[in-house]
Amino acid sequence: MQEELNERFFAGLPEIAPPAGLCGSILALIERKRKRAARIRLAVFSAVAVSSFAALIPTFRGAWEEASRSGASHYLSLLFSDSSTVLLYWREFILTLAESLPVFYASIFLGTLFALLTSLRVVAKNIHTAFLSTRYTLR
Amino acid sequence: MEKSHDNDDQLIAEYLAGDEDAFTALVKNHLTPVYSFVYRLVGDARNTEDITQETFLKAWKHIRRFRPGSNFKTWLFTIAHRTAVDFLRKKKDLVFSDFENDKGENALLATTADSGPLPDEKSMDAFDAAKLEEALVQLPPLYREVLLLHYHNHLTFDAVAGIVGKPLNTVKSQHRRALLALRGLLNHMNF
Repeated sequence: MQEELNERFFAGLPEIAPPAGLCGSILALIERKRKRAARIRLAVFSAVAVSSFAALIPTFRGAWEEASRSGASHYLSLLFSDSSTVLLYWREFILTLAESLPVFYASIFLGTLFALLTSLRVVAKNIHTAFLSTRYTLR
Repeated sequence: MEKSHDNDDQLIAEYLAGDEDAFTALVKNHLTPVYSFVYRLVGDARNTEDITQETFLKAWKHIRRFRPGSNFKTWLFTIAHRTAVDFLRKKKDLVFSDFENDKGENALLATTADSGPLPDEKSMDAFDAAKLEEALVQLPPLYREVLLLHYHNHLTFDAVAGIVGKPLNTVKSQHRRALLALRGLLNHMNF
């Protein structure tokens, strides 16, 4: 009962109307922060993309040289020169190839490739956000 | 018009699925209650605007942390409360609350509050919102906040406790003392 009376008592308090432009200011602030964050991501991932692109050829060369040294490239060439034998003994072929693959160098090359592709994807996504789109506006 | 709890959940789901307009709708729906709450807490328009902006910016930044199914209004008011408290702390405006002990009892208030009743149903006919505003302004921010959240924003004591970050019993105790203090102030104003 007392609770109900108190509720009624406070129900007379009006809501205070915010200034007319406040909603727009909030959305503009969010938009600025969104673009700023996109530009930071753009700068960071552009740097990653450039460095990984620059590292791609040396890491590929390193992985290929190591594969030649270990014999893995000869096994790989069998895929094209004698594919029927490879298909016949595919289990043995995979095991031999796995043993001879330069895992360390191959991982470095694949990691570099992954970094390049991922950073390119992030850059493409953030170019639009940072410079072209405006999402938070009053309509 | 304020959207329902379900509608908020729907808008949040749409926003997280990539519809940015859904967040704009959330801002529009909750702007007035948040602004009113903050204004009554800090007392001036300029700072209220800053705190309200900051509140919605924080909500936008952290919306992925919002747990689906919980009350968005409570979550948003929690952010508004913390932002306003940070501001008041910087202004050192919480001096009155320093008299409070861990149980939410205020020694200073206990000696000054009048224990008369709140205006009864009859006197509410002549209710003057301006008088209530005037009395609320004189209450310590913590007491004012509990009363506004519970009676004006229709939040449960559980939700209020979550917002102000205090145990339920402390909030109930603060609520009782806030009512006593308000009665005292209104009687003093011959209301």
